[in-house]
Amino acid sequence: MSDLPIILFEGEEDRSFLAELLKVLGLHEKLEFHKQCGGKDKFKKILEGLVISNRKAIIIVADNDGDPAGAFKNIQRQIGEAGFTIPPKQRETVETPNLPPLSVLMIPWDNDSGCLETLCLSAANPDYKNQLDCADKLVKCAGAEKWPIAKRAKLRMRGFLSAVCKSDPNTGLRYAWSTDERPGDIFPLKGVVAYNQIAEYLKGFAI
Amino acid sequence: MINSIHIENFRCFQKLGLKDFGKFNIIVGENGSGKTALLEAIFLPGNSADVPVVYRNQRGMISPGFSPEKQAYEAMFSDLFFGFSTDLPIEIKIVGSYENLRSARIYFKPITERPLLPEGELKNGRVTDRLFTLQTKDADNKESIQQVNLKGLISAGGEHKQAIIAFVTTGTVGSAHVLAQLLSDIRKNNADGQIQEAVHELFPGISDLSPELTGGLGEIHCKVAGLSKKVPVTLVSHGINKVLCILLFIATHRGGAVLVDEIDNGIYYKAFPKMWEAIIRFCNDFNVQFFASTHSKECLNELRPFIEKNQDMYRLVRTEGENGAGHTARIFKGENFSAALETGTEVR
Repeated sequence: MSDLPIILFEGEEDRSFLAELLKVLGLHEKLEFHKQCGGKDKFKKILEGLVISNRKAIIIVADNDGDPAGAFKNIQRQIGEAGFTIPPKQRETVETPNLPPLSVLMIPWDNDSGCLETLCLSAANPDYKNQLDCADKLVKCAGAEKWPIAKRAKLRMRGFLSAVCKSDPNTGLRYAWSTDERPGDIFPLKGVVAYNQIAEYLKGFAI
Repeated sequence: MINSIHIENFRCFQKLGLKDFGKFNIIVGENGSGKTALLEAIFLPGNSADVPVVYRNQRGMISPGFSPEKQAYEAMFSDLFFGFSTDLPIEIKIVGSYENLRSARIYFKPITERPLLPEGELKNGRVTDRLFTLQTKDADNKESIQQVNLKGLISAGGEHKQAIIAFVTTGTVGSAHVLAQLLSDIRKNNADGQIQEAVHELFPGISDLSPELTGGLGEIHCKVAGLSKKVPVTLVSHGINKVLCILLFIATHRGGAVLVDEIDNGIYYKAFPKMWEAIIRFCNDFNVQFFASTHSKECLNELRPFIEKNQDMYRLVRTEGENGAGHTARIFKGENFSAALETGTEVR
């Protein structure tokens, strides 16, 4: 039974992004991912199960979407209901007797609105600037400018990835870092400033 | 119902306390982490002083035989003691309802204080000067002392009330005569219907279980679809025999506890749901508390629907390796057990 710190996440694209980032950081053998994800409301059940584990730490990664305070509160509620001490702030590690320490990372960052798509699009490879501009036009001409921020970002990502991945326009964000039949440099991670804060945070658990 | 256990200096446990057992307790843990030792600790109080020999047999060890020489004599028992050191006594205390409340103390008692041996055995200075001693107390504080002499014979004093507890291991399952006796006792009371139905439901090709004599020894026989005469269940399937053994022990230990080591061993994976259904029904009908160890994820996953129906009744007990003071174990509630199985968290 592994005791490595474990990352809980909302969706498979979060796992792909974080796994790739950990590889870049050389930490991929020092942190593990939970087998299951199930959206932003599944954390309570997973935490209840992790009560039996000997993990050195639990890291919850979730999206802020359009309401950072509300999204963090939702995670706090689930943590409390699962019997863990509730972290008062994002990224603060809290201890609970006989349970693994726990911390929450909100994406794109503490109190910034958005989601993983927002973060990744902000750091897309400049070589694909044309496709990104096209995706922005798609948002406009589809009348989606007033959509909630996370939905808007997903539409933008959908259009952008379809334009970039000619061999498979159906490519989802979870496969964006897979070089199999698609460009491997859509969202470069190495040395990209946009990810520095997240990288520093994750490094703190890889002891 | 056993609610808690306190163990000192037994096997790999230097000091261990476990509280809040449930009606159904599943023990998991790596090889060598102490699952079987925990079951042995639960079984030990209230049983007889030959348990060290019984445990050796159950674990497939060859007993070296009894000898008047101190080293050889103590070697028969020393593997029960933490660190193989017999300097400190083994203490086990079980707290629970009246019939299960009891404690045991195992130690080597100087012969000079209680000379139970014939004079002739104490000579040349080569003989042991200590006797393996099991001292137990029951809920009424009645005490018994049993000692094993140099020939392996047990002498007993005080009132020894047998615990209502059974321990199913590979060795027990192989004791065809014991199982035949249990079935015979149940049949004498015309109470074997439930066993017959449960086994037939689990294994539809099997029916009409009966204790029969073969060469003067009892064996449970059964009808097998397609065969003209009854055959011993052990010949049909080890797995069927094992489930039958578990159900027989539950049915004959009303108000007590049944312990099963490696419950999944020998059972086809598709039989797990019906096996659990039968065991849980029997335990509820006969008011029996259940402890079982397993390594099988399939076996655990098939238990999940039953845990979800009544989480309060279930516990997960995980034995863990060396922590500086012997092995340890932790006990978890049914809701955490169920959530871990549901979300794919490794529980073993």
